[in-house]
Amino acid sequence: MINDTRTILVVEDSDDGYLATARAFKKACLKNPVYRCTNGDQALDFLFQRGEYDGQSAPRPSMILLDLNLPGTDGREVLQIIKAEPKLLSIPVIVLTTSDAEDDINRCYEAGANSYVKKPVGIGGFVEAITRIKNFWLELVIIPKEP
Amino acid sequence: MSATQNNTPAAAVNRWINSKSLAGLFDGSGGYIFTLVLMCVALGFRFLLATEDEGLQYITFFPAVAIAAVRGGLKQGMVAVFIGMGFATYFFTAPYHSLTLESVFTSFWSNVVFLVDGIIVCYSIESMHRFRNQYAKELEESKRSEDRVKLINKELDEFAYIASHDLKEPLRGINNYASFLEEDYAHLIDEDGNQYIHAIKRLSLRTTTLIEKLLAYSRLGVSVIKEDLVDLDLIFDEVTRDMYGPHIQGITVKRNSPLGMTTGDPSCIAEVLQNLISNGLKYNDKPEKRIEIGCEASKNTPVYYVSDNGIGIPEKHIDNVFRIFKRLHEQTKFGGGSGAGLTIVKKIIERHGGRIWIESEPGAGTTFFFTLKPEQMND
Repeated sequence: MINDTRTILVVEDSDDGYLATARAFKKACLKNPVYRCTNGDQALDFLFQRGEYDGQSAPRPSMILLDLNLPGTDGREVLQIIKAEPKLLSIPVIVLTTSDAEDDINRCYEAGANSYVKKPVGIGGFVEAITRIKNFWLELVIIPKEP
Repeated sequence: MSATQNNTPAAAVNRWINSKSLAGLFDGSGGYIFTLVLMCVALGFRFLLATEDEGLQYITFFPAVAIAAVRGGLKQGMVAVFIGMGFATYFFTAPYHSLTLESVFTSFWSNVVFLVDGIIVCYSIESMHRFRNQYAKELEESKRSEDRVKLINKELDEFAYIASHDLKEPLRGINNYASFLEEDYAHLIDEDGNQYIHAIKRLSLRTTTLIEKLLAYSRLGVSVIKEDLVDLDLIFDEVTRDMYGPHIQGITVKRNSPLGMTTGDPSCIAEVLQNLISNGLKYNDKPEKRIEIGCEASKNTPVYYVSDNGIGIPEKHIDNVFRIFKRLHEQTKFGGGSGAGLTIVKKIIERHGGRIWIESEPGAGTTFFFTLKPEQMND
């Protein structure tokens, strides 16, 4: 069940990090439309379709890849707000971060993260990780349609 | 660690005495009124006790003098003594209830003895006051400097944590771009150039490993160490199973005695055993590599040991093995390594209140001894 039309939201502050993610998407043959936010507040504006975003420029994503260390409102807080909002909480949030601190892992799952992935070092490992995320979250599992 | 307010009655009494004696030592009027009232109470007792000519006045006044001195030090004690002398002369010396030349002369020597006794007792009590105040001050000072050291250590740990975390991002970038360069442009660059790209990738990966170790180490300094009941034998079984499975050619890991139970952080303790055992096998050039582990429980604090028949550590390097990133061998020898393993081991053991030490004979092997809780004085 391949669905190339579902949108993915990537929340990643670093351009270098995003470049690597975009490249990994390409290598993983992931053709879905990808939107990117560079900080927590922008991600929340996108999800709530407010500020510079409206229903047109910010479609509801089918999956969110969330970095934890973001300028301003950081990923941990964004995650909490998403999971506290009935309209958003069914969107799978995959935390994708360099941190493997036990505290971060525990707190993310407690806040309702759908999975927690540590960014592997080296682009080979990273492409592999993105491929597996795609295989699981976009192909294997069934995600609810927009409520 | 934090100084919590103790609410037992004994502590409350202690606080009351502290506040009174410290406040009453040098300040005036309140103390004098208290002393006067105290002496009047003693005087009342004396009247109840016997008739004026019985001569029990000094004995009755003395406790009041002592209490005044305890509360207000030398000054208040001496005031009590003089009030007592006045009372004794006025009320209890013939011709009773009047102050005459005769009563002054009659009570003179008794008053002198009372005065000398009073001076000695009040001065002793005053000395104790001073001693206690000084002790309290020193205690406070040492606590303050201890707090400062703790704060500095905590800041250092936090600094290392933040620094290493923020260093990882750009390093990842360097490694990624080197990979992109290799993937996209390898055909445009000659062999030397490709070698350089390889070197960039290799070095950035190594730096990442170092930073991750530094991060793990600094996290140990700030994180909370659990105090679970831990079955060390179970941990040993798990560690050895994860590492080697039951039998591996040329390797023997033997438990000489049961390790027993202790309290601590199971995953941290597993890391200690894992590190010590793998070190013993890694720095080992014998065809039959042997690790022996055990516990000397004869003392109050159990001493654990992990001993190997490896290459040993020369005397002058014994202290160096615990220094972070200090390696005794080249990167290419004995399978490389970051040089953080034993530093992390030491930190974990110290966070448990224990210590680690080494006995080693170069060429014959090394034994690591460690404890997992503070050693008791009578060991």
